[in-house]
This record gives sequence, C-alpha cells and structure tokens, in this order.
Amino acid sequence: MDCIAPTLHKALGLAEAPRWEVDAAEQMIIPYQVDGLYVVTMASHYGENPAVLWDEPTLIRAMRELNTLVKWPQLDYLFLDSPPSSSKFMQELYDCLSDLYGIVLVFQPSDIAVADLVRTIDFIRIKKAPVVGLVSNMAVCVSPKGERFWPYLSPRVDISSVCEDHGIPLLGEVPLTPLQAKVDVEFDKIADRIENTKPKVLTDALATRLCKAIARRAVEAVIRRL
Amino acid sequence: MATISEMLFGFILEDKVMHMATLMELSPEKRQAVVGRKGKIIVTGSQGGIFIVRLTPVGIFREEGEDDIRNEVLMDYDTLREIIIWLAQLGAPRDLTDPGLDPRSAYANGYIRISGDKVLYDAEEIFAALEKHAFMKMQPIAKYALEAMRKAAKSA
Repeated sequence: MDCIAPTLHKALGLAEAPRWEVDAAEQMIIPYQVDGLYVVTMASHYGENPAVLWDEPTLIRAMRELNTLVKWPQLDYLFLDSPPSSSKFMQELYDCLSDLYGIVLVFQPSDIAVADLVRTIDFIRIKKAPVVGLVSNMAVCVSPKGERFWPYLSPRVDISSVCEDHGIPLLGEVPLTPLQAKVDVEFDKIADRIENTKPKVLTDALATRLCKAIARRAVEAVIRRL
Repeated sequence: MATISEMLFGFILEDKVMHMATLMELSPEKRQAVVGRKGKIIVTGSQGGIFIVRLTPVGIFREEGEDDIRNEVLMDYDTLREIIIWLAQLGAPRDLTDPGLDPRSAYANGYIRISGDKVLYDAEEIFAALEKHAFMKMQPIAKYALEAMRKAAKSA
C-alpha cells in the first residue's frame, strides 16, 4: 500500500504504473501482474508525480477501500509496504488487518533510523501485531572492488543488539552495492528465514516492565506523602 | 446570468451525439454497469454551479432531486478553470507558464473531492472514461470555453 508516495512500480522495474483495470460487473479493481506478482499501487490511480494532499480521513477511507475493493486471485502471500509511522492512518491500517501474518521490519542501521525503528517497535507492541523479524537494509556499502565501508554521516548502530533488546530476530543484512549477486544471496537467505520464523507478538521487555513498576511505586510514594 | 460553469456544463450536456458516441465505445458489460447512474457535481465560487446528472441510454441529462446519487464531485471554480486550460492544450505543446491541471493530479492534490461508497473504484471509472472516450471530444468545448474566459477576463 503506497498511498502517499507511490513508487512500488519503480521497484518492480516498470517505468510507469499501468492504469487500474476494473471489473465493471463486480465493481472491483484488478491488480496488474509483474513477474508472477500481482500488484496494486496508488500510482496507477493518480500517477506518481502529483503531491498527494489528501486529509487523513480521505487517506484512511482509501486504504479501507483498497483492503476490500481489489479482486485478488488466489495468493500465497499478500505483502503490504507501509512507512515506519504511528500516524492515525497506520493505526487504522493495523486495526483493519484482521488476518495479518507478520511484520518484517526493514531499517537502515544508522543512529537516526534506529530512533524511528524503536518508536515503530513500540507502536507494533501496543498494537499487539505479530513480528517476523528485522532486515538491516543498506547495512554496509560494498564497492564494485569489494571494499566495505560505512557511507553515511549518521553513526552506525549495532542492529543485532537492538534486535536482542526487543526480542526480534535479525533476518539478514542487505548491503548497498551495485553487485546484484551479493544482494541476491542475502535476499535468498532472508526469504528462507522469513519462511522458517514463527511470527510473535512482542511483549514489554522485563527491564521496561521493572522500570515502569519502579516509577509507578515512586509516584505512589510521592502521592502518599502529599 | 449564467455562470461560466453553467455555460460549460450546458455545452457538454447539450451534445447528445457525443454522449451516445462515448457510450457506444464502452464494452456492453461496462455500458450496462454505468447506464442509470446519477451523480452530483458541485463547483463552488462565483462562477460555479450545482449539476445533478444521470447517464441514460440516450445521453446525459440534468435531473432534480438528491435521491439515488451515487457520487458527489466537489471542486472550486479555479480547479475547473485549470482543468479546462489543461484540456484545451491536450495533444498540443503545453504552455509552460499556464499548463493547467489534469483531473487526476487535481484529485491527488485534493482540489477535487469525490464522495460515495466506492470512491476509488468510481473515481478510477470516471477518470478512465474521460481519458479513453471523452477528453478528445470535449477538447473543442474546452478551447471555446478558454477563449470565452480569456475574453471575459480582458473586458473585466
């Protein structure tokens, strides 16, 4: 689901998103097909160039409609691409997905991205949504000569320790590289791990629970003294 | 005195030959699905108007009454004007200082609002029908309307 800045068709190698076909009899939207994948993107509806300035209720309504108005064929998996956000839109999205199998978090291991990651994990925990694991994207830069380096200003974060802290499996690390073979190897590993990992609902880490309990007791003690 | 929107919709609604030709270009299945639909177009502003229309087998007709309306399309006159400018230049080199706005972009930008039970489906159907069947036929009307608007602006 790429309502606001649709680029899914680009990721699939298409110059532009084909217009939606509709089934007039059933009044449904028909997904287009790319390499065995059935795809629905909002770029088919309003193109990829205009700024989407819909208010939140309109976006939420569109998301709900997309959830019910698409005539999917028999699918093995339905992937939904969404931003790391705890906006009302995302809250509604999680609420209307009754049969969500699991979330794969995809994050860059930089200091600035991890701040977003931690907030997203907290959001997912509150929503009690099942998590499959985390993919570290653009984890390191690999030059055509095979040199490995960190290309960003934001400091690198040890993503495995973040995963450990939150009880989330690390599914793999995808390098930023023009060497397609290196990426393909990682994608295959990640796909295998996703298939073999049972999604789980995150619970508050023990330390967080203890901190909350201590804080609550401290507040209660202050109140008693008043 | 009629507003510019009323004059424009008057021209469009008058041309039953165009409606019929457009309708005949649709697949029989599609035609069956859309004939009978009623919609309301609201153009706000001093040059706006409210148009309740129904698609019949012999063309689009204005109707009264709010019952049975499937979609409401809301825009202001400035948006309609931009669309007319865009439509008038369709298929020709675009004036980069005044390119107008295509309906899908106006919709994404939030200048056109469409209501109904299946907005995405209906909006797609409306835009696709306009693009595939109606825009080229409406272009002479848009050119005429644009000319009239420019004359009106000069004399004002």
